[in-house]
Amino acid sequence: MTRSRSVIRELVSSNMGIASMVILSVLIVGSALAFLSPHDPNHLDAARRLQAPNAGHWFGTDDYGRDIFTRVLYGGRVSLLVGFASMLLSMAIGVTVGVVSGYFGGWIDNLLMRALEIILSIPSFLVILLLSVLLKPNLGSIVIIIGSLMWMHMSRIVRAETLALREREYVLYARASGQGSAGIIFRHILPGLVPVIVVGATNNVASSIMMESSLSFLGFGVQPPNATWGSMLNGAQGTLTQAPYMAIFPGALILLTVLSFNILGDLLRVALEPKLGRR
Amino acid sequence: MAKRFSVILIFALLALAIAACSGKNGENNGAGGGNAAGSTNESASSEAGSSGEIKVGGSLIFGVGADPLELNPIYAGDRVSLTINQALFAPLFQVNNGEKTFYLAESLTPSEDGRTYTLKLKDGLTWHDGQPLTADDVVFTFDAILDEKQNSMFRSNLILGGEPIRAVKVDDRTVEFRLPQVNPAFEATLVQLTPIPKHIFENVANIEQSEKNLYDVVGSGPFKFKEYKPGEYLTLERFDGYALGKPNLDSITYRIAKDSNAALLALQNGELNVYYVNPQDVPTIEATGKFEILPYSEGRLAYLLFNENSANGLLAKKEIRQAISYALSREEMIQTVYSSGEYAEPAKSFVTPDGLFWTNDVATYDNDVEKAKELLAAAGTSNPKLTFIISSGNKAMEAAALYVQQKLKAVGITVEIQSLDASAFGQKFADASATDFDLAYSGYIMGYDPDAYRILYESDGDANYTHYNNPKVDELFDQGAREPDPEKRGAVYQELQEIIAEDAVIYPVAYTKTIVAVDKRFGGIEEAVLKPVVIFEDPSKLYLK
Amino acid sequence: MRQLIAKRLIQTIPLLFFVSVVCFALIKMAPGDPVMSFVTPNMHKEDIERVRANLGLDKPAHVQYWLWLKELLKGNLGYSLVNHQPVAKLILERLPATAGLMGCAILLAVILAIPLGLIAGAFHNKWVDRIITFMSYIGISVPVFWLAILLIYLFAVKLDWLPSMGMRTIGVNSAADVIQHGILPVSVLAFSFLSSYVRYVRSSTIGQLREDYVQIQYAYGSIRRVVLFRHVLKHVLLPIITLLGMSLADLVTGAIVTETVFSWPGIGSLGVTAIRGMDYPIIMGITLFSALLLIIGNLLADVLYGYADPRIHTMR
Repeated sequence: MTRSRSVIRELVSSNMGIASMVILSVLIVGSALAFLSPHDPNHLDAARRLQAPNAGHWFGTDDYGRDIFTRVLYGGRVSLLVGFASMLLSMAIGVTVGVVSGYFGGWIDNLLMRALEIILSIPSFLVILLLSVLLKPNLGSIVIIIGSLMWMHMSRIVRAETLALREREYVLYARASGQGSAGIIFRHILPGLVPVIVVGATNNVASSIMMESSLSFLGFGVQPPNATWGSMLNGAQGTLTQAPYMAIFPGALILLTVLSFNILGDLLRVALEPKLGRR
Repeated sequence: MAKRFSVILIFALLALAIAACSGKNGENNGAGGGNAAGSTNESASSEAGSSGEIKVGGSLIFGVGADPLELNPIYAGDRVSLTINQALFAPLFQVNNGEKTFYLAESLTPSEDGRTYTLKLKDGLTWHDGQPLTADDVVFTFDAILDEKQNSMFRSNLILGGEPIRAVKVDDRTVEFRLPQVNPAFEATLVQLTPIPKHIFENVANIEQSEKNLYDVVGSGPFKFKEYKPGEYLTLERFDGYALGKPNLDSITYRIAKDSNAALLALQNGELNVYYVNPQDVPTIEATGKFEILPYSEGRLAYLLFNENSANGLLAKKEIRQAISYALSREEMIQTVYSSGEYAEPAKSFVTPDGLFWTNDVATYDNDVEKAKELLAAAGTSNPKLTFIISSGNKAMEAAALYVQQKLKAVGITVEIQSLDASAFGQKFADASATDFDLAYSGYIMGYDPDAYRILYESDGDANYTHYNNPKVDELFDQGAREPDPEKRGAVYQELQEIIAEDAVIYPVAYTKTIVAVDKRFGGIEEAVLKPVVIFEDPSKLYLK
Repeated sequence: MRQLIAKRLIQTIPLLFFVSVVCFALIKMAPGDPVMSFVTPNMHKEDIERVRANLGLDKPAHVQYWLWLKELLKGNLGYSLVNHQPVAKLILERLPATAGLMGCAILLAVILAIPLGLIAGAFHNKWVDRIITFMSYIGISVPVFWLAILLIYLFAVKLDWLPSMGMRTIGVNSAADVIQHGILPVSVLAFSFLSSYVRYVRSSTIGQLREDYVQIQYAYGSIRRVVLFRHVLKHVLLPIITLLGMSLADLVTGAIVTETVFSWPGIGSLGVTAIRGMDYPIIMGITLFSALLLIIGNLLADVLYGYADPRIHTMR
């Protein structure tokens, strides 16, 4: 059976897999349809501050009187977007570096891997904080910051796979018959990297969402008035005794989203690498 | 394998143990220390104080937002250091509402010509380590500030017209200050001059880097240094030899809580007794029923800044500034930012109510959306876009920005909010050549003499953040500084307030109050005198009920 | 092996140099002025400029870097721009707090992860396994600061069993007090680490149980428990050890968010404050220290790996 069909079969056969996909779909659709909510997520209403969850406000209101449910939906949009965009950026860089390094070897490989080591030697959180102070605080910058710190792990994995793929018979044959490097890479190496890339991408989205929420929580990430799940948690600690629900909802959603991506990532890995057997 | 584990185990436990036992060796005879946070089993010594019912004893915990930087008064500029210094060091005297309260000094007499001031110290003053506090210390402090090598931030305050003021010892308790020119503001300068011990610092080459600025600090205030654990807390204990009499509390601790959310929770949990609260957090704290909410005037004006230098040239036009002002409602803004009019009075003048010649009876543009739209149409702008910078984490700025954004949208102006890291914000705000932002929400405290405001509104003023340029205003400020007759002076500043309000140089929002939450179990707050920045002027008056 | 160690140690110096350059460049490119942290608006411009000049902040960036480097080569990490205390002292003061926190959390995580992972792997796909796996999924997906806030709410606010912030109660100098303050933060961190360690151990166990030597053991009649703990464990420890080696640097910077939530006086909060205030000597000091630990940690991990598994000697 074709690979995609076996992947789908794998995912569907696991309870957790189905649950994850359902959750993610709900979240994505919910965020996309956020505009249907009667409340404006940024509308300040001093009179309605800190209301507990009620019929008009399903998740209650925050310390500025804004409807938490609506903010969670819009926040989800931002968090998911940032997660995906960062993943794309880091995958693009990571795969490129990994393939080039693995395929060409030699001094290119050496140079790239040394550069990698240098960057990895700097404590990542410090770099992120420094970068977020350096760049203008908008969504684009956050994506750049997170993306540029996640690619290293990916490039190592891709490099290792490329090294293995490079020695396969069909590749050796292609080289022997005079095919250009670019052609070989695109036609043989990259397709072989698909499993690794797909799995890596899924895990990457999870990490990116997590990282964005930590940054926003610390006050370094996405800025007001835009909400993200992490920034909504920023003020929650102070109002914990009065309004614990301000903390519960956004955090629970981060958990659900990251959890679903992690589960899917594992299932995909199992599905796409049959040699490793069931785990 | 087991061996490997035990090695790691020992290492980790060792690290934790070191953390537990480490802490600077500033433990002077640990009498009375060890009172746990806010618990009710305070020390039993119940000798009555002078007023018969005041208990002696007890421990007060302040929450502060950072480690103190330098506990040496000639360097301290940050709020935490200044607050702690209020307990560690005693000033010469303080001024409240025009009245002097003497601490270390007994009297201050200016000469007839105003060029010499004679300061007399009280008798029998000592430092925390028992050494006598004399005129030598005052002169030494003065000279240290003037010494360029010692790098004090206050140096320029002691230089008039390019010439330094000279401090001369007359006898062990008397010091004469000789001024190069007449300066009525010298008294205000002396209020800030707190003596440091000569016998500690006289042979130190670089006072700034001395460890004595953070550990085993020797001062003259009601409380003396006990211990400092960086990042955690700093504890002071009672100094019986204090100039104004024995303090009531056994000890005061400043607990370092960098994260304001964590601190708020700790306050509610009883782990802190005193803490600044934002207006938005007042209901939460009030709900616990354990705290007195004390708002007090800071002499501060909160305002919306219009950057006339901005690249899009919009705010340089008076009509646009007026339009923006009309689009906003002061009452509403106060409600949104401060959640209650109790903590902020509507402001119309750039001077604060505690200032001389203050009047709120000036032109104001406020709350008239139709007028706003008219003015904008007349000015002929299309799709105006403004940038509003805020300092990340500052709730008041954030609330103001959100409010302004919402209101201006209704009249067709788009506002983009840019949140900058605190130090980046400070830099950009003060950058005279910044052209990439239009609006900011800020505040200032300038003191009671209106001449202090000239640096904000004079065209070449050091702090002219709006970049307002009006020769008439410059002329008036100049006049006011030199005018000896109070009535004529009053007229000058009245005119100034009118012109600046007319020109909509800023949009004054409110005269804000600082709000401090104090645990109900502590009294003596009035006697201790609530003061901006340092919270209590004289902590020795506080006691546990 | 010795060659490898020597080669890596020699590479350390240029590596650290590059790290310091990149870090310094980032700091200098960022807007922000350390002087602003301790200047009041009432101060005169000349005073502010003089202070700035005294701190060397008016010189061009590369000159500042060169001066810093010169001091470093003399063994001096410099002084904080903001409170003029020696950077080395500031870091060492706070090191035990962070190292203790992380050390205990990692230790706890490892001690629990090994048996849990082994059991999960051995009882693959049974109930025990499902529960452990699910919990570990949660553990790697839950935002640490959120868990921290929830636990604070439960244990400090509602139940009042534990304190909500800080490392100790004021004036109390006992280890017991520190431990009481440390329970919540250590638990939060340990749960997070535990979850990823368990996954490693579990998948390693599953893999190992399929190996020939295990089948042989069973054929000889050994019971499962013996097989697990005497044979499989050894092989499973390997990835754990390498993981631990690579976590050496985390002892310094791994708890930034946790330290913020709990107001724990460690290096993480020192670093965040320094970055907010652009206090570059501290930032550089922490970076160098943690980079050094990272390099040593990686080296240690590689050495232990190579030592334990003789098959791996074909390293470049």
